[in-house]
Amino acid sequence: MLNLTPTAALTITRNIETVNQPGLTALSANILTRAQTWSDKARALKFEMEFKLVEQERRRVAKELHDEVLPHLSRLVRTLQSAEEKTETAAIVLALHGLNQTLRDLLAELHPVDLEELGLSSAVQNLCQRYSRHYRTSINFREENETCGLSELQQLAVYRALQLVLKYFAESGEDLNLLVRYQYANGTIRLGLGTASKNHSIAKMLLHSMPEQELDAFFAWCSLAGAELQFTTWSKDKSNNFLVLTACDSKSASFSASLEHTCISDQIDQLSKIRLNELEQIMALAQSEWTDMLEQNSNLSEPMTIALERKRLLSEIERLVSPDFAQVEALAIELANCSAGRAAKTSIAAAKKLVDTVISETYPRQLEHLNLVSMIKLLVNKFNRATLIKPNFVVGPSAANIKLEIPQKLAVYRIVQEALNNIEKHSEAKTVLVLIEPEQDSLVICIEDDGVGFSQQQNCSHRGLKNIKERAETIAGTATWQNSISYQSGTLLTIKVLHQI
Amino acid sequence: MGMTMSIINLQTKEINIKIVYYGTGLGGKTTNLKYIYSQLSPITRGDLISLATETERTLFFDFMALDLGKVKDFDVKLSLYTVPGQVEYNASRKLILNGVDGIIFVADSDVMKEQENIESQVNMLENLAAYGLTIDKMPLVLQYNKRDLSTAMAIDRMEKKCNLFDVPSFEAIASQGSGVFSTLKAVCRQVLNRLQ
Repeated sequence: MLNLTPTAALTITRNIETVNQPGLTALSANILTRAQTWSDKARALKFEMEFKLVEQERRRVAKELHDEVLPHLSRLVRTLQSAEEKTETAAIVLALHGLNQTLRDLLAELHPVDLEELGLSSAVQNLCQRYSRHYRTSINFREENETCGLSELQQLAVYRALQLVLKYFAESGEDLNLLVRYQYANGTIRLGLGTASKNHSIAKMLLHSMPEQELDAFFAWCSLAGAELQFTTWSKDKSNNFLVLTACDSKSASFSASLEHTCISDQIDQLSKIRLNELEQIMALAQSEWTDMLEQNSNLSEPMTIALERKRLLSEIERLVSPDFAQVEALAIELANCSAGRAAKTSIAAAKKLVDTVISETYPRQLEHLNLVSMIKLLVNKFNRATLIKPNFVVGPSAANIKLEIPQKLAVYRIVQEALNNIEKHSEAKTVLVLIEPEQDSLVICIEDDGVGFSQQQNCSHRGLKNIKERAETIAGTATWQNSISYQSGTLLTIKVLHQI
Repeated sequence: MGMTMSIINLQTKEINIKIVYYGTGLGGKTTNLKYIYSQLSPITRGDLISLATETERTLFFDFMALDLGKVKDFDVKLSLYTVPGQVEYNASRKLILNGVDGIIFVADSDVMKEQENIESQVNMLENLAAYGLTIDKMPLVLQYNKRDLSTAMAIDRMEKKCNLFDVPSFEAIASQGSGVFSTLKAVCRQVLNRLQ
């Protein structure tokens, strides 16, 4: 069974030749154990403070990429498909589908919606399929019981831990023939990761080759899940080339609390005991002072954590989607002599820029200068130019005077954007009505189409609907769907948000 | 809170002396310990334990035990500590001073650190006072570290500004080991003289 690895916060310059000095050795060993426990706790506290911010940022980027970049590319595909030079554009359309898939894989990496909607077993299965496809490697998934009683936090932590190691193995380029096994019984989940390759050792690869930072994060996620790790056999398997993560739903995911104080029972002399007690007191106080400092400095450390995560995300996105972007760009250049090719080139460059903007800016800068009505008008105009669906834009009296904070404006703007994207993509509508109507203490935005209706829409984006709901919730607003009132068929989405005049 | 000076075990004839390296953040206290560690025989030293941040800066403290050998039939063991230099960790600094037998104040020679050196000494006096101690009863030596800096203050100026109690002082470049052992020896000598 593994313990948490020593952390960056603890440096021990080991003296391996102290066997001749039993007094010093026993004292050092005891101090070492205490320092190790202290260090694990310190890192656990820091990780607990940071991981929520990191997850929040990943979720934000996933939402923005979904709402901004994917519709942009879908629109380009439709434009190319309807262009006169269909034969010439076929290759770039195919490449754009590939880029679209890569971006969707990226969104799943950043924010696993399936984990929240379908549960851990399905999310792990999807993860295996995704990595198999993306890294062109064999990852087999087997489940023995798909239920899971772990808390949401534990499930996320288990998922992130597995994601880290699975990605590391999938990216290694080795022919590992990986196997992931999921089992849940008696309140305990056993998640195994093994290789059928006799030439590779999971333990060796993980502990000796995995970059320190990633290994550290893996252990941290495991701790957060309250999970134990073992290199072992799985049931009847003869091979012991399996990493098994075991987490119990009765065990609290309280990270730092899970680190128990261990004490070496070596006989140490009286003087050493006094020093040891003293050191324990110092370490206890140091931990309390350090925790206070972390909390006091959260105003400074939080932006730093987010900035670091953005930097990491940029490099992750660059690595994942750059090859696909390069391919569609190259194909667009080949088509430079036709109008569709020129349009594609411009549009692809804009999509790349959008990706960068989404990471670096938390919201479109126009939100600072324009009111919500003007922002929605821009969306409607864009919709009008890009589709054959006729939009009607109606603004109630004094709607333009409604004051909303930027987070509120951003949420409503994105909801309207996503609603229009869905109508364009799925509704088969001929007309859409966008109505902004101020009420006593709230602003109501209705988006109504005469399409096939919500329940009949095929392939409607699950993530998109979830995004709409979440965005409405974050501003204490509501987003509700019903059948169209004004038309014989179609859908009416009503967004309600409180405002100040 | 009681002040316990050197721990002496008359039965086993052992003396445990606590030396604390005090001073501003990034002044070179840990570097002193690292150099001592690197130069001693594994037979006489314990592990060097540093609770430090990722940026190598001492967040809390360092600890190292070492065996000084026999002095008048007594086995003398040293416990070397450094304090966290950052102003925010005063409670830890104060606690580390509890039971101290001797102090090495590591002053940063950088001209920009002049005021910080003074503030750190004042803080040391306040923390000692909390244990009912005054500097005239405490073995203390000063180390003027980082003498190799181009921005290092003149020694005369440092003596005037930092050596408030006219205690023995030593120039040092701890990163190269220069002055490290002479400082440690000086404070040990003072402590042992007091014990006798």
